[in-house]
Amino acid sequence: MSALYCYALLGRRPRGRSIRGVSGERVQIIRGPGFVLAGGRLPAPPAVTPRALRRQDRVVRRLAGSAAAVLPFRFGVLVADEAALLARLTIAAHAVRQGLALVAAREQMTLRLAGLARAPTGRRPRPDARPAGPGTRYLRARAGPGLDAGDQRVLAALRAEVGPLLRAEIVEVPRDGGVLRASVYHLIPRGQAAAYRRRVRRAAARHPAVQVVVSGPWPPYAFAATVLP
Amino acid sequence: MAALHLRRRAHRRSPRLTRPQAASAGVRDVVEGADASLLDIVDHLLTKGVVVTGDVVLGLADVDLVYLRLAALLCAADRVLPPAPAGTRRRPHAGGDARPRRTAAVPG
Repeated sequence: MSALYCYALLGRRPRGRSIRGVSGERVQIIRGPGFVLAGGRLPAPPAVTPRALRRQDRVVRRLAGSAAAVLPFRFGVLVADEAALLARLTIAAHAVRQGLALVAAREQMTLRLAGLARAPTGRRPRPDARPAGPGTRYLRARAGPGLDAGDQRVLAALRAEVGPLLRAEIVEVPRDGGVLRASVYHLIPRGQAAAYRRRVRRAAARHPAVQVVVSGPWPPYAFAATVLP
Repeated sequence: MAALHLRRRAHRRSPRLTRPQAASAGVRDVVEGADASLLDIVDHLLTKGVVVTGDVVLGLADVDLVYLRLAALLCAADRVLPPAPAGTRRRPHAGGDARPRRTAAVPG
């Protein structure tokens, strides 16, 4: 039997006609405790190409269109033993159900905050009285860089404007410090993307120094990443 | 890890722009251009989503009986490469798997 290529975890069985996967295979539904798993039988994961990525996004969107709660898998997740996968998911069933409840009837909008690198302020950080120990250094490295004060003001303005639609948020700041200052993922009620975009445009117009680019609606990819412990 | 080429063509830049303006236009080209949705798809599908990687060993009385392997085969480079020191460019290198695999232990 071929391995199982995983597309998404769903709250319940999707409605409507059967869905085809990235390689044209039929997407199968496998029942778990409080969730179902959507996957296709493939001998190997698809090659990483723009076409394959777009196809997988289409498959996940179709699943999202036929089920209220969808937690997409990352591209390339192929399991040889679906019983082992179900056992793993069953151990984490509570977290999966919580994740499904979070994304039910919601969709993701993605914001990219971009702009030119800011010149350093010339202010030196205050030296600590004692050098940081290995634990502190580890935690600081793990936390990564934060947003500077200007970007935090922009983000606060965006939050204030989209607040009535906002259900959850994830903010990622790239480590490299290039033109991309932050990626912000917002979970909003389904069908509210146009209203969300209008609100983002209003807030962004007040902060021309930072380029705010909005895309979506997307299946809740960023929120699915946090589901399993 | 395979390279994924996203840009189909070089974007033209007006010679009349000053340097900061040109850089700002470059930012717009990247984040608002035709490739932007593909960049989003790459970000969402390669670095986000449920991951179930791990090795599971079922054992009894300190004897491993069953070994199961779950495989998540891909992730984005910045998830496995160590952060570059300030002021340097990050360069991919062979065998750069800097993150430990998640292991789910099932008591026997």
